[in-house]
Order: sequence, then structure tokens, then C-alpha cells
Amino acid sequence: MKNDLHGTFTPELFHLHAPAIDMFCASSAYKPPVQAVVHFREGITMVNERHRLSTLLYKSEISFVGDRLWKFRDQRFSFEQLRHAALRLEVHGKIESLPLYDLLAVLFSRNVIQETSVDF
Amino acid sequence: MNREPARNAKPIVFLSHSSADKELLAPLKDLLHKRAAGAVRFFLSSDGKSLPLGQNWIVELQDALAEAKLMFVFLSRNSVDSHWVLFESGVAYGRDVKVVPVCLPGIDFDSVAPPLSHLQGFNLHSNDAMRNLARVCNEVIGIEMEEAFSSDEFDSIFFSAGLEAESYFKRWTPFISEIIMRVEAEDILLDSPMPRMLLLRHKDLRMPRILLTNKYSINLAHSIKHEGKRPHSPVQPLRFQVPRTI
Repeated sequence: MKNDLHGTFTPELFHLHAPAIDMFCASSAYKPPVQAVVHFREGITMVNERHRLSTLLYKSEISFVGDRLWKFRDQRFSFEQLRHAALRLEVHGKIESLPLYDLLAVLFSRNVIQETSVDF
Repeated sequence: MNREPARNAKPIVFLSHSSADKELLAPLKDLLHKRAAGAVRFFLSSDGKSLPLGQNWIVELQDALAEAKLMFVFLSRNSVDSHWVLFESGVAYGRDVKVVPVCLPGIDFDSVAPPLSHLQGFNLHSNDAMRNLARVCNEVIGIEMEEAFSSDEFDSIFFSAGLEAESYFKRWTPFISEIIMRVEAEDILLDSPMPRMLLLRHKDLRMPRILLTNKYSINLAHSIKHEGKRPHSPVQPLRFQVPRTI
């Protein structure tokens, strides 16, 4: 039997929640990997065809490692199309140390992720 | 070239900013306007009020710059590298207008590059710092505006900016709707206190008050997955929501 703890977090306060989750995992039976899915808002589009991603990410810090997984620095992730665009990550280290800001900077600058409408 | 006389003789305080910050600064302009009891014209070029429809934008902007007594240059992630903000402040400085850089949440005045860093500026990161806005207006314009601002007044204008500036995702925050995290453990009793421990840890971290509103609440669910013979049917025996008050 497995116990599964999950939570939904807002991006605005994730900088406060991430270290709390790290502390919790370190002091409990809940151990990494933590599965994290970053859901984008409606109106954000993401390329997820492998050949287009390879073209857009050519000579970037992001590389394909197989089995739908990509790697940025030491962090593996996959592109997902759920209700809206999403990134799925399996976090083995500290959530607090995830390079998400830099990863998103590369994805936006390479037009892998784009905003198609502004309606916040 | 002759221009029409100025719309009124009120002294102008020019609020230089990036258009990306217009929604943030429009309520600040309204608050300052109210404090000054209409004795000062606070000019915010992007708010749709300072530049009436049909007016020539660049001429109005030039007139406002020419007649300004004081310019606050609001620096944010959006404007700190803006050539337009530098241009406006350079024009004003050249006309002997007092130019005061003001760093919005997310930007520290110590990190501002020249030439603006050579001017006397301040961080607008608290309601106490808002007092500087009124004090400088009083000194330069010669009015007697009430200088104290409450924390509610500061929060109502700048809280979202502060959140975004501190956010894990920084400038990408508006593009993300939510993050769902899931972690598993073997052989934990159903009534394990661990989710509550997490909740307590959050309280230990002294979350900002706003966390306790519905909008920013955390919602943790403790569910159980049955493996083997039983179908995969998550149940949620425990659900936590941060209380509205601590």
C-alpha cells in the first residue's frame, strides 16, 4: 500500500512552499522523487513535436535524452499537453533548487513556449 | 512653433514608468492625487487620463516634461533597462527638473546602473517608504500633503508586484496557473500527522497575511492508492486548508 500526498500550489507563493516541502520530505517517510507538474494558463502554447523541439532547441542547454524526456542541466523533464500546456518533472533533489526560472527563460526565448493571448 | 497654453497652472509631477507597469501605478497616481487634494497634476502618460483622447501624444508628453517640477522614475523589472524611461529622465534632468528614481518591489536601488544610480533615489518596498513620495512632493512643490501611508494602502497597490518579484518563477509567474506536486511513501498509517506537520511548518514560516485568503490558500490532500487486487481508486481521508486566520 502506498500513501500519496499531493498538493496544488500557486506560482506566486511557490518560493515559500518549496523549502517547506523539502523540509517535510527530509523529516518524514515521504521521500523524493517528488512528481511536479507545472500547468500553464490558457493562452500559453507549447511546441511538443519532437522534431520541432529539436530544431528550436538546437545548441541550447536543453537536450533530448530519450523516452520523451529532455534534460536541462541535471533536471529531466517532459513536455505535456494536458488541459493546457504543462511541464512534468521528477525531482530527486531539493525542490528549492529546481532551475525552473532559467528553464522557462530558455523555452520562452526559443519560442518553445509562447503566449498567444493576453488575458490575465 | 506656438503651442496652446498649458491645460491648467497646476504644478506637474511626472511619473515616468514602463507601460507594463501602468496598472500598478494608476492606483498610486489616484492616491497621490487624492492626497494632494487636486493641487498637483500627477502625469502618468499611460493611464488614459493624463493624455486625453485626440491629443497629440508626443506634444502632450513634451509639454508635461517641459512643465514638470518633479519626476519620479519608477524602476521595475520592466523599466530598469528601458531606453524610453532613460530618455524621459534625461530630458527632465536637462531641464533642471528634480528627478528621483524609485525602485518598485523586485528592484533594489543598490543594483541600479548609472546614470540613475547617481541621483538620490529610494526603494518603494513598504508603506514607510511611500512617505518619501509625499515628502519629496511637499519639498519640491511646496504643498502640505499628508505624508503617512498605511500598510493597507501599500498592500492594495503593491502586494501583487511584491509577490511576483519574490516568486520562484519571477517574470514567468503570470504564465503559470498552478503547480501540482505529488510524493509517495510506503506503509504510512492513514492517520499519520505528517500533512499537519507540513501545515504547521508553513505557519512557522510566518506566511504573509494574504496567504490566508482563499485566493492563495494551500490545499493539501492526503490520499491512498491501493495496489494489487483492489482498483486504483484514490480516496482523500484528509484535506487541509490553511485557516483564514492564525
